Amino acid sequence: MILLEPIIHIVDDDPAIRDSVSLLLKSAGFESRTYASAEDFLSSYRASRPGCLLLDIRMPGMNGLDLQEELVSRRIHTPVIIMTGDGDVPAAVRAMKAGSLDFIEKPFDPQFLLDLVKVGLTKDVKQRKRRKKDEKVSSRLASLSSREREILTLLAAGEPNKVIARTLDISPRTVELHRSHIMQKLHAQSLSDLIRLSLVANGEAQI
Amino acid sequence: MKHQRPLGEEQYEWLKRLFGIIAKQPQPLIARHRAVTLILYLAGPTAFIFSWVNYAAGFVGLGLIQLAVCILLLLPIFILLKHERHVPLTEYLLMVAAVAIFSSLLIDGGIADTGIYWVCLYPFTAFYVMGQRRGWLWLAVFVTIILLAVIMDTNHWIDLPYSAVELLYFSQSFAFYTLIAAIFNMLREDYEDTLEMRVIARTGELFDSREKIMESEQRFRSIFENIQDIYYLTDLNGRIISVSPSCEEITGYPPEKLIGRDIMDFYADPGQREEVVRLLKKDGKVNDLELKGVRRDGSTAIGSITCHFVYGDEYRPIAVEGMIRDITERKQVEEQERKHLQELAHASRLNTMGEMANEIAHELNQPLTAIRSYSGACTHMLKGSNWKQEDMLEALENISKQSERAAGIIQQLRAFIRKGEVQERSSIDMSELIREIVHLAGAEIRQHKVTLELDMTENMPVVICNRILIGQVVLNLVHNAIEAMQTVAKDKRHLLVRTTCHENASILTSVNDTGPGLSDEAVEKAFEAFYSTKEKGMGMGIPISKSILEAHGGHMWAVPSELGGTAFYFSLPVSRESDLA
Repeated sequence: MILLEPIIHIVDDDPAIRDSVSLLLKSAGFESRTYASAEDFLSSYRASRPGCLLLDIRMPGMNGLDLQEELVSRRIHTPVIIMTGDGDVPAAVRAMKAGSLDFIEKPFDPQFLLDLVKVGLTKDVKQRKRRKKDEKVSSRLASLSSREREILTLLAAGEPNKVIARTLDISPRTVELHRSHIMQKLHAQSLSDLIRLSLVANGEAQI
Repeated sequence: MKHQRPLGEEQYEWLKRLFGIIAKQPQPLIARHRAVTLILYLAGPTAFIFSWVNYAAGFVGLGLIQLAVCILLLLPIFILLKHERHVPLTEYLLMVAAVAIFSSLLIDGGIADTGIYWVCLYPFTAFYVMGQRRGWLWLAVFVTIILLAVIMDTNHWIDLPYSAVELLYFSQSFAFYTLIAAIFNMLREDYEDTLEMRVIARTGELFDSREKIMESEQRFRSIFENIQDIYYLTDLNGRIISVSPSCEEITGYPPEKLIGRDIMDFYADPGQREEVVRLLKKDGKVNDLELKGVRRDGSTAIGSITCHFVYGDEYRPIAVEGMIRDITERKQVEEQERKHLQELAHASRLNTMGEMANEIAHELNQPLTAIRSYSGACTHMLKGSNWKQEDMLEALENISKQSERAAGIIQQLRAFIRKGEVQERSSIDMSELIREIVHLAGAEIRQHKVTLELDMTENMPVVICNRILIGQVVLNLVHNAIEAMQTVAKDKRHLLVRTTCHENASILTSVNDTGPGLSDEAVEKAFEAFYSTKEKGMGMGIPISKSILEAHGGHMWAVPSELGGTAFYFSLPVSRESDLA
């Protein structure tokens, strides 16, 4: 897996904020890109590089919260840090519900912002890795036959082979055989691995 | 007025007048006195001289009779005439004298000789002294006497040296002269009547106008004495010539203490006197000029003076006349109202600022955030080793710029909420002021996604006003307009602020919104205190704005806007050059 250099996106209508924050990030060794409006950002954003998004709430046109919701609907998972000029509680609640990483009030402590950006970037890198893994797991899960999937479900429920055989009206020997196939296909080392993967398959847990 | 009369009536009347049948008003005594005096002065010396001439010429009887008449009748008349009340008596005496003298001419054949001329004076005398009607009576008396004499002569009781022919001639002449005298006297009386009528009419007029003058004089006196304001008259050096009694109540000085003094002594500020003199010299008058005076007790009174030159011959000013109105109390009330308005306006400004606090905080947070970020960047750069000098310099310069930005906001804010004096006025370009205020409201405008359009007329004449207060009005209207548009869709919030100059006399400003608009009733209510459509609103914004404008000689009103919402208008008068002076 090749990891590209992370980039931080700053969306704020105030040129002074854009300039100062980007200089701050630069001084801490981060690369950044600035956008004067939410629309600008949406039209030029590429998801190829990991990164995080610094978003001002108050902007003419589409505001920060609108943009955040738009990102969710577009399945863009870049972590979002919301910047606000006043302690507007309803806006904060809305932002957090929409899954933003954090909510910082202007004028913020630069170090705090940098720390937050680091957290955001780490999170994005992790997310990206996990998403890759997820993609692998789901492709493996997809390779299972329907009988094998039934057996995996029952295994995950903690049923012993005998019970599974009786439930499906097959011989315990056949169950044994399917089980080894499943282990093979899913690259599982143990029964516990298998159970975890099955939960993922059912959408009940993350890796 | 003319009547249509039967033919001949006029002539008939003329005859009646000729024979004195129409009774006339008796002549005034003064005229009768004049007539008697005239005749006496003519006849007296003549009779006296002729008594001597006749006596010397041998007509002894005639001379003696005439002398006797002079002494017994004419002399008493002369004395009696000194009293007007004796005039009727002197008339009789004079006529008796005339009858006596002229009838005595019968003696010695006088009337057949030159005596005839003298006798013919009798009818003139009779008509002149006794008037038309009584003149005929006295003629009758004379004719009777002559007839008696003729009868007595015929019967030879006396002997008159006349032939029948001579008597006939005499009678003819006498009758002729009598007629002439009667006509002459009638015309004379007519003439005098007309003259007299004219005199009477003229006198009446004079009386009338005198009455009118007296009436107006009385009216003036009454005004002068009861007037509330001070009326005064000074000479050109300011010395008081006349002053109305009202001065005592206002200044504490009774009029007699003021007359003769220099009006300068009562000015609190000698500069104001110079101003009055300057205006008088320039225009010949002063209208409603405010000035401060000193009362007797040393306190200051504020008066409004209106005065003008009084012109003499050749239109040269000779005095100054004027009125001074005491407006001290009115000024005090105005002052109080102004203070009141000032306080209210201040409270309202604080209130508006309170409502805008979030926006202002946001506005301030922007530069502060930038400053913190720049300084954070600098710290990081300095801690590390890999930094460029120009980055550092730029960051520091930007820090300075952003702190200036923050300071600017605070300054603007402080200027706006400080307690300004209403009287503090300066010349202001309305378009410039509006840009400034709109900037102050910028955060709020952006926050509510309002698109702003400024339609400013450039290079308009300035208005003299209090910057803070008029700014407050604009901010208030902008703030209200934004709030009014809360309920409409974000892409339809449009705010239009426009300035125009109306006929070079007033500056018109309008604030238009695209809100739901106000009903006529709501517009009316908006101008009432404590009415608000907002939850947080005090409902004082519009009424205070209106008061502020009125204090500046302006007006404020609201109409439906061309944009669909409401348009609030206000006008301010363009300042004349003299306003700042």
